[in-house]
Amino acid sequence: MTRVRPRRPSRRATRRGLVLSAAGALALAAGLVWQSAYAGFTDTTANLTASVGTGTVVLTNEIEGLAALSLPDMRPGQSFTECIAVTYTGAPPATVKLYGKDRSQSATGLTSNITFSWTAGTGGGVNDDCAGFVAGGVTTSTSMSSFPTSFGSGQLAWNTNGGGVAEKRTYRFTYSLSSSAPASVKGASAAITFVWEAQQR
Amino acid sequence: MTGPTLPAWRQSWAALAVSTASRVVLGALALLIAVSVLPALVGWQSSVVMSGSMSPVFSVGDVAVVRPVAVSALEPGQVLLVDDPDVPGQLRLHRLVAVEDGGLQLKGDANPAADGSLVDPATVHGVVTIGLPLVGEPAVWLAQGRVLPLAGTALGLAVLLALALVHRRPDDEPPAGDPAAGRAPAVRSPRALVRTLRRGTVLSAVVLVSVTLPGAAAGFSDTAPTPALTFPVADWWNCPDVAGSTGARAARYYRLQESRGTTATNTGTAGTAANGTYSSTGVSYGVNGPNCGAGENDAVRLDGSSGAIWTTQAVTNPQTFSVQLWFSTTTTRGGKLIGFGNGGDGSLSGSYDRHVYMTNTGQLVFGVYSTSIYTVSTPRAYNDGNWHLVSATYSAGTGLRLYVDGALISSGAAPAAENITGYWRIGYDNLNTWPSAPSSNYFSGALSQVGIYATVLTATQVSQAWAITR
Repeated sequence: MTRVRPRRPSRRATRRGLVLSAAGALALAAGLVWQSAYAGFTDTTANLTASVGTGTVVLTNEIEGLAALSLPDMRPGQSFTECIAVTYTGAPPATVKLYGKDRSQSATGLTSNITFSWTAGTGGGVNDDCAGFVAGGVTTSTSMSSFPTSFGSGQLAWNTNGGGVAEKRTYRFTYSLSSSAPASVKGASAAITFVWEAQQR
Repeated sequence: MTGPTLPAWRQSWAALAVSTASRVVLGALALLIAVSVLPALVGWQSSVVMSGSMSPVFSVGDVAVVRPVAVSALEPGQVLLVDDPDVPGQLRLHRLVAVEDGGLQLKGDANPAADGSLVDPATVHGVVTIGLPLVGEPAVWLAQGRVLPLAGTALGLAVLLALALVHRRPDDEPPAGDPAAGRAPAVRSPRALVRTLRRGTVLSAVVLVSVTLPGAAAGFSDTAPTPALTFPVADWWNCPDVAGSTGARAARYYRLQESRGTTATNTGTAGTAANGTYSSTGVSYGVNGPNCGAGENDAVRLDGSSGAIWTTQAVTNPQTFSVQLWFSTTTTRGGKLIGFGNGGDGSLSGSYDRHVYMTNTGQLVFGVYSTSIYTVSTPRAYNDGNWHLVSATYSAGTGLRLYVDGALISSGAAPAAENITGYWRIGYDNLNTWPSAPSSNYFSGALSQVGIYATVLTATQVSQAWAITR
């Protein structure tokens, strides 16, 4: 004996449909929430390895990764100039700024007697050589002691276009020891690490 | 209340199936939005992910629900919502990789390098506890000003809503004001229309609430640091600094920077007792000197007929010594640059050696006397008007060494220097019987930075003395 299926859903079937949709909505929402919760952010080790793929920002400079560099001895009033090329290869447009970190000095007052001047431009920059460098903007001149230490206060903001095409800029760096530097800094040294940072904008 | 008969298709099984499916989707959406918004009631916070730097864990448009966390409970691996240390007023959603003295080191999973700025633990909003996929997409579109997807979503919601209301039963007309959700309103009366509009507004408001969640600009970033750069300051800034360096401290050092006579101040270890005396005539003060550094660039010029400098502190038989001075001349009559003799107060000496003199042709000769004359000399002439540094060292063991401009030019053995008590002399003294003795005992030319040492200067010390002026 077979039951004849009604032509239209009964009142009971309609009520079941309502219960079913409520349960289904709950299940779907819970599934999405839990699935993403397990996707990694409660894990303390996963995803710590950087994945450099499309969409990421990659910034390099030519002396990155070298061992620490010691520059020539300075005497008061002397200045030296180097050039360094920085390349941005990233998909999103970004802002690149220059700042310093890990600043130190072996004699009090030395960093306030060293002046850093930076100019951005094009050309040059091969093996620190400034041959062919063409200045493309302002020159910032800052004492080493007041050189910015974070992206927010970084210097020489450079807006890149992105699109994954390498964009290169050369930075000319001139540093000098004040002609009025005190004798107490003789034989001392100061150190800093320059950082170019690109942040998506 | 009576009205037009409901069309048969709206009472069909198919209509029920479509409506049920639509209600599932709408309900899930409503729950997700509720989950993203309701935690705010207990102090949690939600944020829309605005960039892909945390992919694949978070994509653009996801909503992260964060729970407040005590600083002591922070652990590497957690994804934190913090105030952006670089852009005031913005939020940043990155993973904590290290807790350092200066703050928290965060990093976007998709970024090759950790963030450049450390984060103050006080600015941590919380740790991500729930992630909701794509719910915040409208916020992203709104931030990007993309009207089309926003409109499309609104349209999609409207369609879903309509589909959810497709199925109806003939006896399903609810009493006016019945708020039961999911029940099909009749589009037959103005009251029902108002009810539908009200429900639609509520739904839109919920969607809008999710839209107004603050966005966390996770931000792709990378850093390119240089190696640590060290900027050393030279030990020596000028010519006297070289003379004062460890191991080569001069007993007598006459900078010859005076602007008048008659005292040539000794800055060496022998002190003012070893001061020199300028002759009362034949000396010009403050003439241009070698490039010896700030405050050390002057010289005195001797006229070649009466100008000289002598010392009055007697020295007994120095057998190990070095002499070093700067000179500039064009003379063709030679003269004594520096030497040792027994003549007091600048008078002509009867016994004299340990001297450097210039011949008429401009060559330099350095020699000592010990029963016979021992000398070394330069092949080339230096009376070219340029500033030159001459350095001469002697000990029985190392013999005679003559350097010019920092380089060893000539050397030779000599058993001893003459055993006398005498005085160091500059610019004038006896040269009788010495080889290629010049026409003049007086030197005609400019002198500066004269050092007399009780040690043998090394080749390195000599070349450093020269390098200071380059």
